Amino acid sequence: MPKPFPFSAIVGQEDMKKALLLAAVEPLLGGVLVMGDRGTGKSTAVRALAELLPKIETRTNCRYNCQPNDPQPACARCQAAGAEKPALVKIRTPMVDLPLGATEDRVCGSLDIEKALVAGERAFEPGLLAAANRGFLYIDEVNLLEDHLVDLLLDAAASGVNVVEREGLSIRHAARFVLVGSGNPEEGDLRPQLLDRFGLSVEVRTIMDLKQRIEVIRRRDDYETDPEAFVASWAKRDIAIRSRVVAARKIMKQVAVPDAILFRLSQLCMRLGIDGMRGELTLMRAGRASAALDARLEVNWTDIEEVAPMVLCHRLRRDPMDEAGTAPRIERALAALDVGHGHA
Amino acid sequence: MSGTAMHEDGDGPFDALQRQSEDRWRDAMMAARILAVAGPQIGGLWLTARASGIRDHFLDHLCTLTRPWRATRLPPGTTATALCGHLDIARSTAAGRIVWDSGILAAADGGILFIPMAERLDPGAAAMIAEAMDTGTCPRLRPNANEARHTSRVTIVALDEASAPEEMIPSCLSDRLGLHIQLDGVMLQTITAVVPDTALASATDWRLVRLDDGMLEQLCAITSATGHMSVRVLHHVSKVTRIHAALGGRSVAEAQDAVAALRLCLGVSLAQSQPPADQAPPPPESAAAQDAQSQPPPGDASESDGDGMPQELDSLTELLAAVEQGAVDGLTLTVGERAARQGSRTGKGGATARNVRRGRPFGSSNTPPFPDARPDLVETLRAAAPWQRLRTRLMVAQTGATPPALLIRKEDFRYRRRQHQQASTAIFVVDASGSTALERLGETKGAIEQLLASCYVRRDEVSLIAFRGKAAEILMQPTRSLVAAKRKLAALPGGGPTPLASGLERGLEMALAARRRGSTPVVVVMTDGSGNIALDGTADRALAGRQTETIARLYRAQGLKSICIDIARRPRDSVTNLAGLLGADLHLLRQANAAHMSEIVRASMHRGPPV
Repeated sequence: MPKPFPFSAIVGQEDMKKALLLAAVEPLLGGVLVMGDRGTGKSTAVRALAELLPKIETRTNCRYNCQPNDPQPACARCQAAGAEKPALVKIRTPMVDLPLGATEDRVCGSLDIEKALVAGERAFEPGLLAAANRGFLYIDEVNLLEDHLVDLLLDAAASGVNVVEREGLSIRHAARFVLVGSGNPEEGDLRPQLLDRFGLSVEVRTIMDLKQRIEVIRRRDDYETDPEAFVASWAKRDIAIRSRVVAARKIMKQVAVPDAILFRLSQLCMRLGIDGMRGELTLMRAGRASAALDARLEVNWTDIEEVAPMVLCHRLRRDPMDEAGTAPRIERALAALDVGHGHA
Repeated sequence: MSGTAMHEDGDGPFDALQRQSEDRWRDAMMAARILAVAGPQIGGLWLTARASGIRDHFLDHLCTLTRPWRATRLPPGTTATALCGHLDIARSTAAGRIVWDSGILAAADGGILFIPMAERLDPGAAAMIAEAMDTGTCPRLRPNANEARHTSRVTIVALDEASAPEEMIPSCLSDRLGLHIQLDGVMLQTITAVVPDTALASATDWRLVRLDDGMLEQLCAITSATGHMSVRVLHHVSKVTRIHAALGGRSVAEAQDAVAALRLCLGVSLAQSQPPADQAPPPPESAAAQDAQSQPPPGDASESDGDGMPQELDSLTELLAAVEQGAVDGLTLTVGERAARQGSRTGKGGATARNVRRGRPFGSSNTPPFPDARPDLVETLRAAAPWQRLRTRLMVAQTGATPPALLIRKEDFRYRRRQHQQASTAIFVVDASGSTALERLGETKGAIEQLLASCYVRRDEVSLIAFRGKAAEILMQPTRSLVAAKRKLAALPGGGPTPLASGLERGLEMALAARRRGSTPVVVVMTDGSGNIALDGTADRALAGRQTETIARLYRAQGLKSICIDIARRPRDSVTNLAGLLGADLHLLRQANAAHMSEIVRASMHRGPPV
């Protein structure tokens, strides 16, 4: 299987790339929703991201991606005593695709038939949620996904735990993953409850600039002609991005948010009428991740201005009669804040 | 076999048809060669054709060209497990250990996968196929980070037999299939006359063919002008251009290759029959009127190794100009069907019908959902598995006989339960004639947007048909998307006489189509009831009245749910009569009011699933 298209070779779509990197730096943000037309490189970017990120350490053939020094109770392999323990191994950050046709069994896991028939014992066959632990779970066409699956995923993503109670099994295992969804808004909208679970939302548009479009075609052609050589030629840039992410993860905890910035954050959210704490909290976290990516230890207002559309776009009350969409409203609110301390 | 009387003069309508038939067949042959050369590199082929001898002939030819590749036919109703691997019960029980079937996608690796009736393909299956096309590997059903995925590099041939515009192949597939060929309108005598060449040997490797930036820019401009914004489409066009050049033995792509590629991928060709010397772009005509006069564009030499003509570079510029004027052939088809036919509408609605024979599996039960239901083997085994040891011991204790491999009892049987969502489709048939048209249409637009805005969860669809002047027109195909609806509702016409019969007819067709898709249609007729234009567009009030009655009775006969809204200033009997004929609920709405209207419609859409 050839290596995926390099992350750094994706033309344009800066918003999407930034949002994905922010989510990789700060898993607590709550994932990314990428909405846009077909053929804008949504899937390409997500698959490239997994290749770019640093490898994670686990044990060979562990189905739950356990931390080697902190095995989960559900994982029989890593729980084995002393010399029985499997060898350590470094694997690529898990990137699990959740296809549209997936059933509940596949997502959560179910009874392992093989063991049941051969050995007559009840064992648990882990599902996609286990495979996505410590990595990413990517759902293409998230707006067409069955509702009961959506509920399952949201529950697991929010709690970081997958609880299975079926067929006489009672299993809990960690399911900490970054949810990445993509879809085409023309094919149906998402429920508002689902929308605001996503931390960041970006809208990707088809590249209209002729030069850029041609650049896309050229790079694609080069990649398909000789994937290895193409990936190698971009490796340096990919490594640069990877080291930025690794460095940002290290300093993330130390990034400070000045009080003045926090005050203005709250003002912005009030002005836009965003209910709940989640907006403000996510905005703060995204700001910190953005500063950390720039290797700074303090958040400034530019960070906030940059991430505000991604964080707030999908949280605004939708007005069916509003023709303009939500991005301009956020820009207006930001501009109004900059004029001075206007009354909200 | 060709027992048709041959027409001898040069350009009768029959000759035009014959030429079109020959062009289409030649294109199809070229597409088959390109597919054989490139395979998975261009995704595959989208073949629009009804099942016929012509289509079979073409597919046979395709299989001959791609001889070493294995051809697999996707069985209809294929599920995700069948595509990506499942437990093979028969072999497992025979072997006494678990045997996994790797699935159709892995089995078809390196070959062609034919998808018959692609317009009926389950969206879940389509998503899996699309993923396999993207990654070249088969999606795993047994997620295991350390297990290698099966490679699955398949060339897809989607056989699209769609008849109505609302049936379409899932857009995640159509976007990934590079070539698009139509075989409708190819005559039998054409395929007997044109002997396909099976020579595959191309002089050059297509990857070495250069495509200079100027031409790529032109291709880019033309694909954008035809409404194909996806970069994927442009990529396919550029590849097909290079392959076409390689098949012609050229190492640099020329304009003729680009023209051929645009025709093969997007179905765009110039609609004119002048020799290339007249460089005047064709006059813009209505694109719909040119269905039957397709001409090969100048400089199109897909058969002969045409040495470049001096004006050839102009042919692309000319094509671009023609596209922008809307004076090309096939534009209505492609933009209408490929770019605008976006959004695979999969039934996901409010009410779900459970315990039915079709639909998505959603669980299992230990009672048959309907008589003669087949048990679900895997679930049954799951239920029986934990008891095996105990039962074996019991059996040995009771009878002393050695038990067979599996002991399954009646209470172990599990049945797959299926459900399918029944979406509701509200079809507004709106009278846009006369003086109050604009106000009414504005309010209807408001009602539609309100309905859409409030149906996130239930996923209902809304569509709009307006009638005025000579006939009704569909302003909006059924959609769930607020974004798409806003775009389409932006401009609404109004004024003129009232072709009520035509509006009802359109509404009936759309309602039946929605029902075929498995959705529950609700037709909302808003009129003041005075139809005065007959179906053929003549102003004959009596005839129009009779036709209206006939069609309205059909609604009742079909058992369609409908609502009549009388929007006349002073309500008369005409709408009451119409509602009686339709079997509709009647509402009076002196002032059209969006909120009220959407409330009425919502109430009738969700009175539970129809029996």
